[in-house]
Amino acid sequence: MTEQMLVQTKNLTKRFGRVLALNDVSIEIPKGIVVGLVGPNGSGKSTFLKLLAGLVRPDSGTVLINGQKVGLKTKAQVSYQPEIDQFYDWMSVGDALDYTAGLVPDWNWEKAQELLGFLNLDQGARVKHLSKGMRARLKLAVSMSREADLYLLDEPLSGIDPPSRVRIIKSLIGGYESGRHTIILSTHEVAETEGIFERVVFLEKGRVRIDESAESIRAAHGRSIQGLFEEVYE
Amino acid sequence: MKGFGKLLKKDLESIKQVAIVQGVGILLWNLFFFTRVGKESPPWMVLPTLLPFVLVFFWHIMQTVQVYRHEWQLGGIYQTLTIPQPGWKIALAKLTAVMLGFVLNTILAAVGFLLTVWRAGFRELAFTYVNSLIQAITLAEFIKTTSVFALGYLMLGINIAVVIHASYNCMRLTSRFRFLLGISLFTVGWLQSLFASAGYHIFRWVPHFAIKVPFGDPLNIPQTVNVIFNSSIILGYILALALTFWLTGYLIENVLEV
Repeated sequence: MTEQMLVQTKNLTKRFGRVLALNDVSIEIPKGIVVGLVGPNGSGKSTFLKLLAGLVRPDSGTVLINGQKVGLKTKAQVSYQPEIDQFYDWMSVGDALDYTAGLVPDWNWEKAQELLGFLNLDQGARVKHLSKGMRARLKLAVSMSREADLYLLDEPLSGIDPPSRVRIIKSLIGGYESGRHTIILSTHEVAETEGIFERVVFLEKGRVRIDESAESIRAAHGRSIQGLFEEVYE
Repeated sequence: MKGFGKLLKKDLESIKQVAIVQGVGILLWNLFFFTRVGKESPPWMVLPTLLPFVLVFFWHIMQTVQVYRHEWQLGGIYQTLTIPQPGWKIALAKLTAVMLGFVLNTILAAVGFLLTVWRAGFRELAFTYVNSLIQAITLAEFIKTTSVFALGYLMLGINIAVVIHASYNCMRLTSRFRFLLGISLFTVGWLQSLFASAGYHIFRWVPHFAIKVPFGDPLNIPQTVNVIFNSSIILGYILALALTFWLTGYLIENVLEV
């Protein structure tokens, strides 16, 4: 029996003006795994996630999620967390959760309450008064409180202090059910996250350089993913 | 309409502060003139209370742009474009938010004007005029004419918002340079005239309708004139409005990129 693919991209190409952000990328990702999307700045990680989320559209090639073209139906199955802040200053933490809960079909309040507690987020705190680390926690709480098939997390550790990083990674593992949810996490902070990756895709200048399971990378190259990351992008 | 309330609340919050400042501005302006007129005041003393009606349109244009700009500036657009909500619903929430501001400011301006007229001693004159007008054209005609003017005013507000929203989203397709908003406005205006022209031909079979409009010296018995409206032009205009609104929703759902 063939493995059911959640994400299928074929010859995906995206340009921004003269910049070739993604170049002929073909990837298939099955259901229920954690994928690390790694690469230096400008390698195309964010663009790849945006294409899956429906924030940008390919110049050529195709993107399918659960066999469907990206649109309203796939947006109902995908929880996307951008790198930048997406909440409004007037919102409280509770407002941010409530706002998202009212707009998506798969919100899980029980999970949201658990995440709030675990991430030490106060429901009444105003977004504008949150530190960068707390804002990152809030973004994660909002995106992981959904029962989505696919979670797209763009640099969730970027600019975050070490205690927040540990919390974020732990909550990722806590909220993830192997075999049910799929997470694609883009990062260049490989050392802290590689423990949760089941598969790793190395991007460079918009192309896939390596696409293997985390285990086979460690076995074949005889080093950690961080070690290989440093070697590849040296 | 699941989710519409959340979107509307968010859009109202994005324009709330400026709308409150505008509302307070209208109140203070009207209060100033209200406290300065009396029964002996010359008629021109109430004229400044008409100024807020003009300002309401300028502010409406500002708010119409603000409701989108705010979202792009603060990054909320990332969530708006990745939630499973259709583009028309996102556009309708923004249109409703700015129209609520427009209507509330108009009501404030109208109440201020009427109270000032009242205090200035034109109360009896106004009553006499309206009474004689109703006698001249019947109450039903009076209501019909008033409704047509109110609807026309409201449609003008909606049209301004719809055209600016479509233009703003067109601008986002090409570049983030502000001057392109002008070109987008021109393009959307041209598109709307095409839609209206098509609507005019489609609805040519609809009969015209007339309203009685007063004219002449309000101190004397009012005279009225029959103003005939070409229904196909109005229906064409409404069709153009709907299509321009649809264009905004389509751009949001299928074309915009962040």
